[in-house]
Amino acid sequence: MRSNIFASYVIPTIGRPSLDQSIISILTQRFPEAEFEVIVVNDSGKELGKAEWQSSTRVQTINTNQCERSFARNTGAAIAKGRFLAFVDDDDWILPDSLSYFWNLVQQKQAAMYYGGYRFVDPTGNTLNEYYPDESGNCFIRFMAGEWQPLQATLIEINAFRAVGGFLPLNILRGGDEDVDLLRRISLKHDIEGVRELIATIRIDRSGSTTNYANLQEQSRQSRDLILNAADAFSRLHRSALDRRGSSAYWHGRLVWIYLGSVGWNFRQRKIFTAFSRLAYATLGLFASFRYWLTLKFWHGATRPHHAEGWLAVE
Amino acid sequence: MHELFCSCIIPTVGRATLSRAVESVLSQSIKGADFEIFIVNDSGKSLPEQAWPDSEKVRVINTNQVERSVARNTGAACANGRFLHFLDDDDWLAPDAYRYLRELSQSSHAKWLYGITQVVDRRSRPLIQLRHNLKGNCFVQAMAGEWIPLQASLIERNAFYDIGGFNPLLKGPEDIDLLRRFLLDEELEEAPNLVAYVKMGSAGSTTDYVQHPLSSRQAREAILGAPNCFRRMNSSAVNSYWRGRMTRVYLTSALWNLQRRRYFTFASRLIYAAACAGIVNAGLLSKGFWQAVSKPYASITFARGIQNAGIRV
Repeated sequence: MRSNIFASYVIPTIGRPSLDQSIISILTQRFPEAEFEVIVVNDSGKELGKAEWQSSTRVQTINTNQCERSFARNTGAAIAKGRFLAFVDDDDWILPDSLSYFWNLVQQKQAAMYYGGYRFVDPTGNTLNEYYPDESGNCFIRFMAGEWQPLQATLIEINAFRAVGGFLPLNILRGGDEDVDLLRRISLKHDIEGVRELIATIRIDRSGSTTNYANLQEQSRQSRDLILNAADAFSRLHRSALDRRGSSAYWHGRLVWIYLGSVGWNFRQRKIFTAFSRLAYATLGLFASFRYWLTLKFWHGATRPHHAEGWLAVE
Repeated sequence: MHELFCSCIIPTVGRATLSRAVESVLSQSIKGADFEIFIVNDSGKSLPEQAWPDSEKVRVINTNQVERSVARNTGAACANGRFLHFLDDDDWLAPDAYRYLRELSQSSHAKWLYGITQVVDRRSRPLIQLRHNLKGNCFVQAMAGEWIPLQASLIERNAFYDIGGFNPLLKGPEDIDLLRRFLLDEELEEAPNLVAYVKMGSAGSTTDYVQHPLSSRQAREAILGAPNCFRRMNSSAVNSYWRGRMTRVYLTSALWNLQRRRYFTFASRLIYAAACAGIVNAGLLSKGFWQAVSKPYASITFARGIQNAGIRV
């Protein structure tokens, strides 16, 4: 179905009252260049309350039956008609020129994923922190090392989304981390471009969150390990480390660290042969980095946990 | 209000036979329970004119040419019934299918219930009947190549969500893959009644028969990597023939991984194959074991169906 819809915003909701604000922030975009649509995936199992946005021709509501976030988002994506997908949660909102910034970026740069700046706020709306993109191209190793990029400030080309099969079901990922997992799987194949403008505001309220933070480490490990099984994972990681100009030494260290981490994980899962396979790749990574052996940064990368920039500050 | 027993999900590419499929569900006789129908229109066009009677049981979801697995998962996400039933737009149900399967659900705790399938050709003429005789843990049988048509199956909705639904990356055997992943933890139950009519043959089919073998192998590899796979297969391998099949599953996987230069996985599969043979020990002398190891699997269900239909091959 060809359409002139530039972006489809998918909002899964469990019926939070903040949903109205999320939808209105999209409907009031200053964006005359093309069409866009909003798909509300009501996974609450109840009827949504009456609201003004329901009369908008840009909004479609689909009712899913309490089947979990990944299913709900994939359902929204399946009915979407836009060239790009964006996923906003029912307690977040986007800024009035977000679509316009993305539109301009898409005209200038070729990528499968575009992203922009984001602001964390507390439940009362006070700003906690802001982050802006500082990287582009093959960012695979950053996501594999633990960097995070909120879906709320990201635009994903719909065919790239479909080619990776959409969000993985939460059970496969031991409960969560499906958003970063998606970014990792897309960046395994595709490049990313960023715009240094504020796109989205994200509310941080862990008491009311649907995310299971208790075993986040385990979820992330499971996601990364599934991706390391891909035939081209090592070469893409290595390429990504080479592309990090100015900090290539550090990222080569991280390459070794990623595989070493996976060795430990697989030993604990008693997947002995996979552990040995990862060890072989860690060794390969070590040899591929020989020119950095004398730098401190390389050994920092290879021996210490990564401190993700856009996330840990709000822990 | 009656219990909502099942949700029938019919993905369609706009074939004219859709009406027959929908009507066969709408005319189900099922007392004391109810059902709903989701037509997932993935054709990218509006549906051909509706030929079935108006019913509030029927809802249409328009997906945007996302292919079968995503379309089915979409229907499943919207479903409200206790069980899910996936029908195709060129197949149809026998009149009492839901009644038989509901009776079965009252006597069994299995989360995948199924009945007999009548296979028909492209002109809807009957060919053979599939009676699977698969009950309980039939994991090794599914891994060897046995398959149960979705059209004749009801799958408990939450069990479907738990295994993550259909894998959208597979081109072809996504139904077999779903059965295998289901059987890693769950069990089957069979009704002795005819429940579905299923068309067979590659002409006009939406299945990608070129990608099929590769895709099937990749899906099987992912399942062999599951932590409880060996144990589960072992407990379903009830005699030396099925232990032979189990050995063959690991041996063919070893070879496949060797060809792809995945040496560590190759070694791991080889050790599992040796472990299978070790478990058999006395069975190593049996003819059944070696037949199973040395020959590709030919479906027992199909052979039985062909024999009963009196067709000479």
